[in-house]
Amino acid sequence: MNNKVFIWILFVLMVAAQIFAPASMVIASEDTLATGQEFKFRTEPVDPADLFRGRYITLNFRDNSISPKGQTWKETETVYATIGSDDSGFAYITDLSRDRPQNTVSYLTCSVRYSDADNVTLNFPFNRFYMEESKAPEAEKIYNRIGRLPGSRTYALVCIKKGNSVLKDVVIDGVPIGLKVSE
Amino acid sequence: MSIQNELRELVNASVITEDDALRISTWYQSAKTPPHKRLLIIFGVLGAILVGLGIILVIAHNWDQFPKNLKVVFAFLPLVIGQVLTAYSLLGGNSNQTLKESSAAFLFFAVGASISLVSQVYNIPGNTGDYLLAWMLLCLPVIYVLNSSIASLLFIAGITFYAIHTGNDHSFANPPDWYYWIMLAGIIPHYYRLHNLNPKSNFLFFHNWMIVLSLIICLGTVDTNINALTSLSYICLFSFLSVMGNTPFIRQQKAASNAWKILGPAGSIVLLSLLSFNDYWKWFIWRHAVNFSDVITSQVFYAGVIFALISLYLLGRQNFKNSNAFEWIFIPYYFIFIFSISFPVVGPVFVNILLLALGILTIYNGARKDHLGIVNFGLLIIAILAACRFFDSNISFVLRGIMFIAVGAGFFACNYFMLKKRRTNE
Repeated sequence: MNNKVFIWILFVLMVAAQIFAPASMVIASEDTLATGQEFKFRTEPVDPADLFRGRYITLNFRDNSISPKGQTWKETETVYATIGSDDSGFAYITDLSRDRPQNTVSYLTCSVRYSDADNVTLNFPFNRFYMEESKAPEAEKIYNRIGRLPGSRTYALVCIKKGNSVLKDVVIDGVPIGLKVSE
Repeated sequence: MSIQNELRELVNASVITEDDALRISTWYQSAKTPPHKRLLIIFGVLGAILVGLGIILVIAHNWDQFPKNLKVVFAFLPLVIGQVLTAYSLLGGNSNQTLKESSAAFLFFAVGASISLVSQVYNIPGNTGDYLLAWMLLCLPVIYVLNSSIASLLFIAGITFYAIHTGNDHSFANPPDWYYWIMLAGIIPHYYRLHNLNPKSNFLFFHNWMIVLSLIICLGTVDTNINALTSLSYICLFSFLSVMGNTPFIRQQKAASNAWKILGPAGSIVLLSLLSFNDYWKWFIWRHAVNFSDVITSQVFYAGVIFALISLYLLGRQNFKNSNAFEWIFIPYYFIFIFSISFPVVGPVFVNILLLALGILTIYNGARKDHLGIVNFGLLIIAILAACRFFDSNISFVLRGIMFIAVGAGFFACNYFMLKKRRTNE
């Protein structure tokens, strides 16, 4: 084959692959937003030592653990967490498995943070909420300040479908955090 | 003295004809990249990187005023600009290397940026290792499409960072992977081509140093536990580097450019010097008892065996001629290692003997070739060995003193006799 033709074929394949990688992320996220189920994950303030003063708020979740039910779970291993909603409308983990659940689409792909005889704690795949550069540091302060007040309700609005998840918004006492910063 | 002056002198002395002088002069002019072209490539690449990073930073501001769909379009914008620039420089053929290298540098960062910007729009934190792996795999074709050395250098830096990142993340759930080695193999055709077409280029200089440094850094990421097998595989790597530096393919490059030949022996000396201490064996090697099952399940051991086999193959291809002691060092070390499993005391004692033998052989090799530099290098090895023993508190002051005097006298004597021999021959 002519060298020049080969280079152009390689170029076309390269362009296709380079477009496909971010495009597949966009398609999967849009599909999860359009057809996935929405959950409210209760959040907690982040330890000030861990604060990242940048373009996103680091989130910490309250209901990110479940009983191991007699099984042994290794740290960092990939697991599937089935998600349900409690009576007050907040999300919690209903089941944990090493295989993809077949009876529901509302499950997350996540990793085990640590595990002992009583609890398995997971890393949720949505612990960063990106905001405009000028607003993120202020938003993080508000998130941590209000999160510490008794009776405050802060949660992350997340769409879930077959292991994929998209963090839609962070809500503080019923107001999206973007609006809270503007107030 | 410039080459023109030298040629004129040779013509005057009737060593070469006028025609020969003209041909040599023309060859030198065509082989050298003109300085202005080199500067153009450097500034072109720097400019492309700065403009690319600037665009990415402006987009990364994550403008709240823009709807999500527009942010997604902006995330793809640097990528598309990079691809259009690539197509434009391909249409120009081989004539404009500056444009090709600049486009490659821009596209390289644009690929990483668009994945990262899409992640930002959809709040996907992701895993740094997976991100780097995807970025590097998507950028490997850039090297060959544009025949770009800057893309190749950025690629080596990227995969090294990937290996360090994943290497620090080892656990029983995340065993080390071999992607780094497979991706490194991906640049060999470009390296070979660069060597054949542009053996005097600065890009080849940087490739030599970056590949060798990357190998030295990344072998350590195969297994994060420092143990006996790590030292064994590193000795094999340093022998392999020395063998590579002496192959006809690399040997003819400028001395400063031959990182293989510099870092191979240097690495062997540093590692053997460490292994010559009793304490080093006590803390890093004897602490983890080595048994047969550990050896056959250790990836770092296999990495060492692969380097040893390649070294033997390359030495065999050259009929074992012109090789030096540094290229063979892994063979005695294998024996020392095996014996030290049953007789621990053997390890440091024999490493000291090995280092001394290495110094003596190097001095002998230098004397045979009448090369003062090699002779002094051999003496330096013995001086390092003597300095290491200086720190051993269980050797008496008198013995240490005699050792230093002997090495110092050796330096004087060797240089004196070599220079005297030269004068006699002249």
